[in-house]
Amino acid sequence: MAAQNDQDKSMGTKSLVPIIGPGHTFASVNDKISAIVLLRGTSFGWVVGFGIAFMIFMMMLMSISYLLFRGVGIWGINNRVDWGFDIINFVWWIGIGHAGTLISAILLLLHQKWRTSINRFAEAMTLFAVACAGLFPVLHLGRPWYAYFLFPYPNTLGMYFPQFRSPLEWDVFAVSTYASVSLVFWYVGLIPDLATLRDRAKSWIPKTIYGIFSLGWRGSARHWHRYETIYLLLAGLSTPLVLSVHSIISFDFSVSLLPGWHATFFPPYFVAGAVFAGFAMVMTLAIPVRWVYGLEDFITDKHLENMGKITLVTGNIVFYSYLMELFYGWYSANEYEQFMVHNRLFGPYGYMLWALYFCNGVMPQFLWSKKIRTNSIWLFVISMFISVGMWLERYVIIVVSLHRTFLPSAWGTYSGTFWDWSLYIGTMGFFLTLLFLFIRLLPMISISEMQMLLPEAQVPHKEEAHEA
Amino acid sequence: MSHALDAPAPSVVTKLQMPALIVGGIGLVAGVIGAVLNFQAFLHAYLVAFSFWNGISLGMMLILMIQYLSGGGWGIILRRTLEAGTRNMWLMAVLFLPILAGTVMNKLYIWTDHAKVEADHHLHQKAPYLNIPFFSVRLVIYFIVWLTFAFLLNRWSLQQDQSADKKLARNLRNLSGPGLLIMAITLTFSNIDWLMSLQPHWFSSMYPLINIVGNLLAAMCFGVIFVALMSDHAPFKGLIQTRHFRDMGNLMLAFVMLWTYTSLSQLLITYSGNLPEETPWYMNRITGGWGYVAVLLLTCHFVLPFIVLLQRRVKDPGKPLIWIGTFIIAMRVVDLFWWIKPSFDAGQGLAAAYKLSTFNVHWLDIVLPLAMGGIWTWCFIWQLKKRPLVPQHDPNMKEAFAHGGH
Repeated sequence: MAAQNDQDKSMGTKSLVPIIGPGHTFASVNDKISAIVLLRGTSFGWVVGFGIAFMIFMMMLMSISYLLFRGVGIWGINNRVDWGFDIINFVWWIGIGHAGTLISAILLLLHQKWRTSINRFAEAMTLFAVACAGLFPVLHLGRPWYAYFLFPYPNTLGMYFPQFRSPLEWDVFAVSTYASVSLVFWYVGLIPDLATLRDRAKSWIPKTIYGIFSLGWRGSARHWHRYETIYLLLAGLSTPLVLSVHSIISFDFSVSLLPGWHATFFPPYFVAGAVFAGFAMVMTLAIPVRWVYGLEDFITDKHLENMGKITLVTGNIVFYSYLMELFYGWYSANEYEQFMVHNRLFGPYGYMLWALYFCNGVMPQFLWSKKIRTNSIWLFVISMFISVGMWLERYVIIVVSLHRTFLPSAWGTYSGTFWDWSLYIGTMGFFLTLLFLFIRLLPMISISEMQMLLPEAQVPHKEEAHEA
Repeated sequence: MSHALDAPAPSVVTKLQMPALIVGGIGLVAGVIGAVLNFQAFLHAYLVAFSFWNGISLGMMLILMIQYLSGGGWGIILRRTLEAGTRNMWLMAVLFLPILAGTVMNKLYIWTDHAKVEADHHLHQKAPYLNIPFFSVRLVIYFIVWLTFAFLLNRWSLQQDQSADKKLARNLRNLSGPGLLIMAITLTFSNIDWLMSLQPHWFSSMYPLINIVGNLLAAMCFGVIFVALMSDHAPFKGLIQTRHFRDMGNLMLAFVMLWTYTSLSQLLITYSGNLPEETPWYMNRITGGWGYVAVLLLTCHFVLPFIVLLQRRVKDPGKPLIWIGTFIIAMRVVDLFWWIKPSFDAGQGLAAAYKLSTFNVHWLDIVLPLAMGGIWTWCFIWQLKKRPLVPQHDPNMKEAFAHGGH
């Protein structure tokens, strides 16, 4: 205890806001987090929230049914703008997932202890976001029942090898790897907590179900040793995924020749945008959840401040990219590139670009102030702006580049139809439905890792096992 | 904290100062002779040398800012070495003069040639940006910004040693955040001005980012080499722990991987696009003998350092990082040479398709990076000797050097 206090003092101003509330013990952490699942029961607020989310989810299913019945003609896509909401939403959702991977993998390797209370939540968000994202390109195929053509499998059609030169094909591998590694990472992290729930559950049904999924975890030293090893290995595996997934998504655009798409800095630009969007979404969800469930001891102001800082850094990388897009558009001395810049700024979708600059360029600048970074209402508002801004960014990149390309006679316009919107909003219902179920059925904060933050758990050299 | 924190720079480093000066002095004389004999060849080699050593100073400034924001023991250990490097910024401002002379005398960049600009649609379009007065204005702005940052970072750090004022740590952090942003912008445009405009028809938005990552990598290696050299001597002996070296080794690894990521992305996107403005840049660098250099970079700037830096037994003792760091630095020079040299005998604009560069090395290409390195290193050690090697009163000090924890 004394060592911890000493350490806190030495950290000076940095640790004035701790990463776990004072006065907690192993038992109180256990009680507080597991009670949300086991003891509190199903509250009226949860039922209402889940009900609304579920209805929106039903709208998604209805939209998909109608789409399968009528075909992609019900969407706004046309011969000119053949990538519309489907790809915008795909990129938007995939990007949102990135915060989860960054928090769970990179921050673990960087010994950032504050990640502990938000990683479970953010990883769950990653999985649900990838589930939403995956729907769009498959539905966009038009005949989604042939989606398995994308995989290289032995068959009689002579299609052992799909078009490997297309980044859309790379997406198949990047996204499915991402989804499976994230799922395994999330599940492995859950095992000790599932065992805790198993042991604390009163009735036999949850006891049995948690028991099955905790895979016989008894918390022995050998179990912990293997757990730590696999967790570190999975963190190492996930780290390149933070970069690779969105880099490959950026290749979908940048390997083409279209002005506004073909730019060599697209990969890091997209990765930064993804982390930016992801952290905004984590804050959007974590701030109300911490308020509703009284988790201020675990998701402290320090967490919010740190997330605000990462949002600020990535936001500025993204803003740098916007400005550089304009500069290179001009510097290229290529009339098509120059036209693209002009069309973005002052064309029929110009208002979207300015809205985008406001949401992603101006709003994050407020985060320079420590007062705003530690104010959850401000953070919530800024996060909402960023989520909208990141959707606009993809709209500008995709639609505005496609609608006026090289040949003026082929120009056209695009707007989403009712069915575009209903599917997009419907996936938000899907996402929230999964999130409500997650909050109700699983510990949304890692119990075992929170306990490791307690002063009692600070064994000298304990961290050696963590180091890469 | 019983170590002699204010011990002077150990002899293992100071004894390098005289050889550095000798190399620098001989190189300077050779450089002057070379410049008289063939000014253009001199400029070509000089640009490589300048880009490299200026990159080290700038990379050190970037790492200095990063470590103020990130914290961690590695930053405190490296800090004085990095600061000494940034105090060489004035030297780089002086050493830019030959490049400015080459620009004004129309010996280095084709966009300074009026006749060519008038005859070429692309160059004519870019003339509002690529012209000597604006180039000079930007140049002055870059160096004012860099010198100001170097001045403030060094001044506040020294004051912190003397006064232990808590406000200074906050000042340094507050400067570093916006500082990194401004550095990114100045580094981007200086890269466009000095290197990208060698082939002004070509443009790649990734190129400045690769250069920034390369600077970070070279600066990190340079800093780690010096710290590892001094690690057996006061004040570092007993202070540096295995985990500090592991952190530094991991950072080197991270920058090696980032360099590969950015370089590969640029190649892949350019290759897939196959556009007449972009592809000749790579054509000139993979044909006519340059392909061997490209393969050398792939194996020695990425594969070898990557494999070696993954090993804990290399990072933990620290000393092996001296050799790996030197190797990576050598490869960084090769990388810059591969970027810059083929620009000069390659066809520009419409001629790009049929006049490709062939591999060539001038004796100045080897002498000038060494010569400038001698002068740079001499100044660097001179600066390093001026201050205690471990900063005092850093608020994170105790945490960073506590045994066992982090």
